[in-house]
Amino acid sequence: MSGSKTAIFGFGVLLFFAIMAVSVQFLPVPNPNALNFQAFLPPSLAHPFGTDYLGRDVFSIVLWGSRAALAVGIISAGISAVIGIVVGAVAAYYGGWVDDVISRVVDVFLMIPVFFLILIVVAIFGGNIFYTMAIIGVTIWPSNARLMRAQILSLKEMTFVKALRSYGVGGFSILFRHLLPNGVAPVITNTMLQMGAAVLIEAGLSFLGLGDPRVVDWGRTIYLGEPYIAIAWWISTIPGAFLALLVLGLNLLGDGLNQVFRPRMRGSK
Amino acid sequence: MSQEIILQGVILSEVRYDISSENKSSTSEILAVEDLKKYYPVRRGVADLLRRSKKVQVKAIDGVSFTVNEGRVYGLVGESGSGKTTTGYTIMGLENPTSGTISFQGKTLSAKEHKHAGLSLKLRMIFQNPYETFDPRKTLWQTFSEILQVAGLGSRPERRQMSLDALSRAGLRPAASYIDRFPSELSGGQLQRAAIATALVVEPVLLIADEPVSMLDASIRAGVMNLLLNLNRQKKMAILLITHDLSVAWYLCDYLIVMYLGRIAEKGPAEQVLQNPRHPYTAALISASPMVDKAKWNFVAKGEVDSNIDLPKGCRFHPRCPFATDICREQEPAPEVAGDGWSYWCHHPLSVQKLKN
Ligand SMILES: Nc1ncnc2c1ncn2[C@@H]1O[C@H](COP(=O)(O)OP(=O)(O)OP(=O)(O)O)[C@@H](O)[C@H]1O
Ligand code: SF4
Ligand SMILES: [Mg+2]
Repeated sequence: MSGSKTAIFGFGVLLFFAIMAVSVQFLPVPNPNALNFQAFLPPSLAHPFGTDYLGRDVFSIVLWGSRAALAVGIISAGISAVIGIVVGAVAAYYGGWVDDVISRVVDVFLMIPVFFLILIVVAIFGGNIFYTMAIIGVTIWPSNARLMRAQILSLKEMTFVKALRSYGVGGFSILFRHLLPNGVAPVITNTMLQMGAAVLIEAGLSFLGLGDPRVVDWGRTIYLGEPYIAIAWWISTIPGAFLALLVLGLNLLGDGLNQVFRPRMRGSK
Repeated sequence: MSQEIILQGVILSEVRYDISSENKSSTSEILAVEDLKKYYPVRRGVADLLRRSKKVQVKAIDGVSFTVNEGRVYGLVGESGSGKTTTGYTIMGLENPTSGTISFQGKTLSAKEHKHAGLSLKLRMIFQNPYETFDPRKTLWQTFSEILQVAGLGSRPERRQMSLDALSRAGLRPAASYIDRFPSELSGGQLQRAAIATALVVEPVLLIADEPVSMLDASIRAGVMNLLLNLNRQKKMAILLITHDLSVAWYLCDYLIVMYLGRIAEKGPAEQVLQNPRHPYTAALISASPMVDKAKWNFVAKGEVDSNIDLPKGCRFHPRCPFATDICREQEPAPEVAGDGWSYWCHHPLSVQKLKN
């Protein structure tokens, strides 16, 4: 029960940011890139979250920044989920050398420090947010593959797989229409956690100055506000708090789902 | 029937269908299993690996031959681990045999032919554990629809009707209230009936039923057994019934195949084998069954089933057999004929007298 409450709270947070991202263009907030001559204004009615060192409205930056954050989370984790599910499922179901090769690749990926790999790639190709999403996606899938593989390995030994084969159902269909839906829950859970991780990785890259300058982005705002933290705490702290809230929400959603998902299975031996 | 057999209050000798009267005419052979073997590799402890001991195998089935005729019920009986389920899986093509052949309707089946959908229409299996027979995330309707779709039968509304009919004939009535349920929403008995319905829906020539009543309450056992009997009588469906329970075999079967540690100990017409077993193992199974009069049958096999990794030399039953002699410990018995279609593998076959004193 507490699992579902956690999941609902996490989902509520995600929904809050989703609504923010979708509706921001209709809200009466100033252009987040618009400069004015009133830099370092503390929070006030006109600028609820104050202004940054160029006089940009931090409230507007926070609202617009939710788009980049969610896009990074969804696309990176989505790429990771698709690759991880297919690779893990194929490895487990077909076994043999296919499994050996895939498992070695996964091991290698899990050994290297992913953040530095991404850092190097982004440093080489420059701060384009689409590259960043893609590179995050194609480096974080191995944990999904490992989860999926473990699930399929145990599921494929179950009697219902023998039953399906005895009806004449093909291997492809058994894998993708029967085993996958039964085993995908931990991957979905992990995907929520990975969305949070991807948002943090992207923010981290931006914080190191490797963000996409064309995109309104929490991480870059934190980075650019950091030198002024003593005189204008709101520039870095408020976007940082929203970043933390989104990541927290995604983690709670992942953990909650983890407890909620229970296979519909009874009386197995 | 000289012996009165009582199972859950039903005097079976009265209700049991008598093959000697009506069903005497011989029918044609549909399945022939010839010297079938299935060995599984096993990995034992690290110590064995280090010692480089020779390849270790579980001999799940170790040379089994029998035939199945159209429209008859065969009981494959034996204790746990004797290889009954493995035999069923191998016939179904769900496991590849290590050696031996399986012929169905005169055709020797290869691994490829086993996968052919046409065969899955004629050869069906009900699996040992009804809780694990169904994909837990699909409703019965989704499962049945897929079965019929794979078989190329019916349009969508026709498939629905066929599924409802099958469920209803399997005793899930009204079928409409069960068909859209998930497996977790059915009891063990209902799942077992649904499992039978998966076979019914295509009306196979041969049904392999693995322990179809062992998970059921006594109160619904008789119903499921009668359902199987009706299928056999009305649809002329041959049934290979896998069971460890001789009273179930007694009720349903025309023939018995008694297996011990992957080999056949004795096979023959059920009535004769049960009343006058030649193999001590058959006698031990009968004695262990709750159906018998303990005063008449007090024959007990010693100890536990041996490992099928390190099989006993000679007759594999000898460590447990009260009649074992030196020859039993040295030589594997050859088949002996006890009667029409009745054979046994034992150096010192029993006679009724031997048992009663
Ligand atoms: N996939 C497998 N790998 C290794 N050993 C196996 C495998 N399947 C079965 N065995 C072994 O083969 C032997 C026969 O098993 P099987 O399931 O056929 O027995 P059974 O007669 O059906 O027993 P039960 O009454 O318990 O169902 C057992 O010793 C079992 O451990
Ligand atoms: S051959 Fe010997 S040991 Fe084996 S069952 Fe017969 S009497 Fe017993
Ligand atoms: Mg079994």
